[in-house]
Amino acid sequence: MNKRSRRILNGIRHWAVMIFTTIFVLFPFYWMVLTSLKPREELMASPPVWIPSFLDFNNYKLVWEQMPLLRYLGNSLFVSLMTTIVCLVLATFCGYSISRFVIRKPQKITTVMMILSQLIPGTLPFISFYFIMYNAGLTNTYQGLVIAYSVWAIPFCTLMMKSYFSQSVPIALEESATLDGCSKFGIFFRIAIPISVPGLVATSIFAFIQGWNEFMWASVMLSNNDMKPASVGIYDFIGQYGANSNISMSMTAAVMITLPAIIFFAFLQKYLISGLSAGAVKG
Amino acid sequence: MDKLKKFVNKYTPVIMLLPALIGVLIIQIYPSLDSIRLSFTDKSLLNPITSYVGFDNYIKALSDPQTWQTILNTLVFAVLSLALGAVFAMLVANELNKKFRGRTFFRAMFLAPWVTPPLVTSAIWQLLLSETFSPINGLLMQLGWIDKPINFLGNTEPILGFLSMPLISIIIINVWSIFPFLMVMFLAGMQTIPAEMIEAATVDGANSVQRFFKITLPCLMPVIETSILLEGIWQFNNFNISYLVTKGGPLNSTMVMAVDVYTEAFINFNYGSGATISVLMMLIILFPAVVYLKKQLRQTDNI
Amino acid sequence: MKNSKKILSALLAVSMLSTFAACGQDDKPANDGSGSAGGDTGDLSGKTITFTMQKYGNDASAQDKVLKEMTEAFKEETGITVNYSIIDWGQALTKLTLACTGGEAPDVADAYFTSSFVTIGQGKYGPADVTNVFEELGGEDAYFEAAIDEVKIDGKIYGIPWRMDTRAMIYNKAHFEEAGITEVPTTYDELIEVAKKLTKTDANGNITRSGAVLPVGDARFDQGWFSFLAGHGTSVMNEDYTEFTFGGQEGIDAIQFMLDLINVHKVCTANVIDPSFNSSTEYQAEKASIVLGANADFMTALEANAPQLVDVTGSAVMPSLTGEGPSSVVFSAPICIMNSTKERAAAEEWLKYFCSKEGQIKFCSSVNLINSRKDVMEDEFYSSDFMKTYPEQAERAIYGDPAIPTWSQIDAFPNGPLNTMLTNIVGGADIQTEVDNCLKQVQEIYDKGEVDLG
Repeated sequence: MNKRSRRILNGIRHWAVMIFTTIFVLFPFYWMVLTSLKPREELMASPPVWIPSFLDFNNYKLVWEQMPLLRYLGNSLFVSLMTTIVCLVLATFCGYSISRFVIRKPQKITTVMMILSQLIPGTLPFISFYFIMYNAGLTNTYQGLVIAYSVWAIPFCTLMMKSYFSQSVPIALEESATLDGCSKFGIFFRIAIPISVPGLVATSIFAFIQGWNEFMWASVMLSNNDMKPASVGIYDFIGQYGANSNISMSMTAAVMITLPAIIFFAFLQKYLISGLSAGAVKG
Repeated sequence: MDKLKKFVNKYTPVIMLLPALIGVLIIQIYPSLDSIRLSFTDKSLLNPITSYVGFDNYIKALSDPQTWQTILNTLVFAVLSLALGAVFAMLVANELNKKFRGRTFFRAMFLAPWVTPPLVTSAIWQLLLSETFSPINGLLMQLGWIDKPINFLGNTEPILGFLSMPLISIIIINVWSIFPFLMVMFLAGMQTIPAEMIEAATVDGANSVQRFFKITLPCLMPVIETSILLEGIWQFNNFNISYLVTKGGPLNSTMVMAVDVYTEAFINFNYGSGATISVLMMLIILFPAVVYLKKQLRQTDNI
Repeated sequence: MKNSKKILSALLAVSMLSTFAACGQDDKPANDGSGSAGGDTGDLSGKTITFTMQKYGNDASAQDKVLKEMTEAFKEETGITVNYSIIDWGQALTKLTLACTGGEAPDVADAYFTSSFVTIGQGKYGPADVTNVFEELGGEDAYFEAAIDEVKIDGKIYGIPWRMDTRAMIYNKAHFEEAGITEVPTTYDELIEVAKKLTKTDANGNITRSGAVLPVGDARFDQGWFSFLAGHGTSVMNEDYTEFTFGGQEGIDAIQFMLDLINVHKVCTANVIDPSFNSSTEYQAEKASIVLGANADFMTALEANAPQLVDVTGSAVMPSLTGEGPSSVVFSAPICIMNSTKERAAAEEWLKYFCSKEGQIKFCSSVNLINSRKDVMEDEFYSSDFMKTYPEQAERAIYGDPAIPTWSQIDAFPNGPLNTMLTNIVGGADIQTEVDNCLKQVQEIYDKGEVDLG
């Protein structure tokens, strides 16, 4: 009886959290999609129209014609993937090194530097950084974007990987591997990496989204329209007078730019779960 | 060849560190140090001559009551966003870590706010919270719960002395956009907790709440500390939400320091005083950072 | 396991390579720095220049399309290639600032805050003196006076004025008819009378439809206030920009008038202080009958958001205190040649082509902008029922942005002294105290700018 009522209580709590979060998360999206599909006569009605008299898909056609959506998304995808790869490789090495060889000075200094780098708000260093990149001839190149994004993501990814490594990888396991004659790199690849796959996926999602969402640097640094990522491309529809000047088109463009990312992550989620079971078997 | 191998193996830890460290030093640390230097100058783009002015900028900034109000706003914004976001994220992550039908779907869906570009986030929430067009107001009025629309972003009356409706509104918007990040970090941390530990606790008769506090939370501590500290720093430095939704207004009720730095540097062209506010921000945020670092470095000594 | 190691190291290698490979490939073609102005166009064939422009118009592809056509036609004519790029407004100021301090700069740029940028560039970067081109394009007689003010510094012209932005009154004809109003108000008294008839309130006295709304968006009050200053016969600064004049009695009256519309006559909602409030969307939602100042692009937004209102929307010159004289402001922006250019002659050719009467008619009619050239505004594009108000209003308008380098600071948004003062006053602060305080601050900024320049 006690056990059963406890289970029911857990069930209620579980679904209460799920339902509340779903509404909180989805309502803005619902409104976004609704606004993009409302007939124009009902857009500015007050009180607002909840159920439009019909759904008008014309906006999607117009945005598709006016905006090089695939190119924007392609640019974003390319830059974000490169960022993820560069950042993850560097951060995983660095995080592992810190988590295993903590007592040494270089590792300590690195930890301090990683934290310090986050403290000054990005606005001002932006200018010095711009001129570093400009003098290196990296403005207006994808490399300039990838370098900036990956280095911006490195401190967090490093510290996070360090946390995951020290939480999940038993040192005893590594010591036995050392006795088996494994090199340090070997231990890293054979033991540490496989167990930390969920952490790896989580941080890579971070690096990816950081590159995906960033718009200030991209907007200032790029002057070639063909290289624009989606986060900057959305400005095409928000324009000089803000999102309000053509609300249905802004919202349509927003849906078309956001949706692919959401779907992309729906696929990544599966990988996150399979990563979990792999880790669990070994742990 | 063998020598090389030995050399590599010996210096592996340092080799692993260096690329990341060098990148961070050049791209983040150096420009930041440059900002600190600027804060002691009167550098303005409109003035070709720049001279060192000592602590003048600091004295000027700190003697302005508006600076203190902005600092308070920033702290309230950062602390409340972080606290609400973290608790909410933990709650959701804990539920998502259970096995149930549709788990993949929910996990993917809850990520959505995170991949929404800031410009889109601000545009949609402005619409949701505007007095005239808000569907929330529309619904509440139709239900007869309120007889006058709620002025989410325009009501400047203070609440409890340090809060106001617009500030609460942008905090809620911010929680919406940051909680998925914390959720993913916590979820990933939970999944690296060995299943045997949880099973053992279940066999011992611990209920789910006890399991959470006795096993999950302590195991997650390293991940929680790091992600909370950094998220805290980022929220303290958060520029997008305040700037894009309310531009710091109305009547500065949502003005945060990052927006202040931006306007000083990029609109007023006063790099010197912009840098001063940046350094003040750094000094404030240094406190939790040092606590974290001390703990981290001590921990490392213990191993 | 071996595989994963291989893959990872391969990825690392590839990413490193691709990251650094580009360091060398970006070398710009060396140009012979022939700075000679004018010259015949024959020897310019084969040159390439870059041109940046902010984003205009509501149709995302319109600007790109017209620029493509124009640059192609220009190439046909002169052999000069123009690589244009369209910049979003979010970072436009930052980009221009970096271009004026030695960062990546185009040869020709669409600018604003001309006087600030000339100062920032210190003759090395930033907008260059283009007085010769200006004279060739017709000189002072060809342009509206307020537009020349924007680009003229110490007798030299630093850019060719092109787009102009003036704010006319927008009203809903159906609401007028319903309230039995036949005449468009021309004085402030008439305006108040008409607005009272148009205003609707609910049982609790809350305004459900404003008779006349202040032109506000993002809780930004300064630009509307400039119009009311003009309508009261004064302005922010005096003619030669040596003194601030908004603190005089007419200035106080102008602010009082704005407040009275909200608090005394109750014809404008008090919600203007909400950052999400926007007078255009209020109008689109039929929650306002008159907008006291909207730009020429108003119609495009209306077509997009509330097409049912297009036929009942009219425009008229803004009312003023006396019914005559200035009643609004104009803002103008120039196209500039940057000092850092290595292709001055080719840049001049493009400037002449783009800023000519024909060029401006073609461009501005595609993106619904009004123009600083008088003969452009005579084009039939500006003779439609709605558009024809704008040339009229431009004749009855004073400058919006005084041409002083510190103006961008004085009028900074959100936190410059002018905006702070107005928001505080609308929020309930005492007018005289705020005005005095503001005068002190703007004078301080102004003096600093003057000393620095001297």
